[in-house]
Amino acid sequence: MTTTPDITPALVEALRDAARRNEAFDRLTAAMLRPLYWHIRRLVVVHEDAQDACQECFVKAYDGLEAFRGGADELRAWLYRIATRAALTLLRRRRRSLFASLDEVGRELAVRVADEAGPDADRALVRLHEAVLELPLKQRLVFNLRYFDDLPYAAIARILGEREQTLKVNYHYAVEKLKTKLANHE
Amino acid sequence: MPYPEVDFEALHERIRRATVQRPIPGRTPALRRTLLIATASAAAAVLVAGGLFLAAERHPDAAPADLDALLATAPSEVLRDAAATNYDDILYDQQL
Repeated sequence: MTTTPDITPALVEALRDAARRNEAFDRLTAAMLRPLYWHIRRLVVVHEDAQDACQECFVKAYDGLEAFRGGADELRAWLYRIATRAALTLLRRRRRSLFASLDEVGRELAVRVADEAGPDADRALVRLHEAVLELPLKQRLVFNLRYFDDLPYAAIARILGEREQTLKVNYHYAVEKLKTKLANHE
Repeated sequence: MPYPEVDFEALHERIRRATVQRPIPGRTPALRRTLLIATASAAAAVLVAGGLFLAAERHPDAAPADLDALLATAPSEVLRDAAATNYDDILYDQQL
């Protein structure tokens, strides 16, 4: 599991100061690059796509910094929200047809996990990621953020703009489906 | 994660070039704003000049009245200089 580093109030304050902004943003990038990259990679699967979406995410954040209001928790949620949007925008571009849903794109990407992982990858992990990609998008997002990023429901609620109760139900269904899929596979 | 290790240093550098190290982001909008203001000012100046020209064309009688007023109020020295200048113009302008 990936643990998300803390964004300190001092860093948020520095980001608001035009004279210290660039140096602070570089530190923010260093702190959030890994969790955001992996969050995006779980959605888009392909490394090059994850790199592009990750860069897009940080560029959008940098350009929107002056408009950002809020503290450290809001900043982290804001970055995750931008990252999620960048990943989903990229997935929309990858659709085979205009009417294909992102759920279908996820299922198509599931078959690429093994290729991306390489021959030395842990087979159980590969199967888990394939199964996660077969989940409906909303359940996939909640599961990824809760299970892999280890974020509390309150933080996920900020990122996805949903009520905590709804997220808990989504997570529950996701876990149940994964258990069934993985059991059937064995 | 089942995926191989990623070179985060290279990715960080790439993001750095696209954000904090990119060529001064504020300059382009400022230049664009300056050009916009200059263009708008030039257009306004052309419109005002056109308006004044049309107004002058519509009121050709205004000039003699202005000239009369000028002749009545101007110091005699100025009038003498003006007359001399006009005389020179007539003398040396081959087209007249």
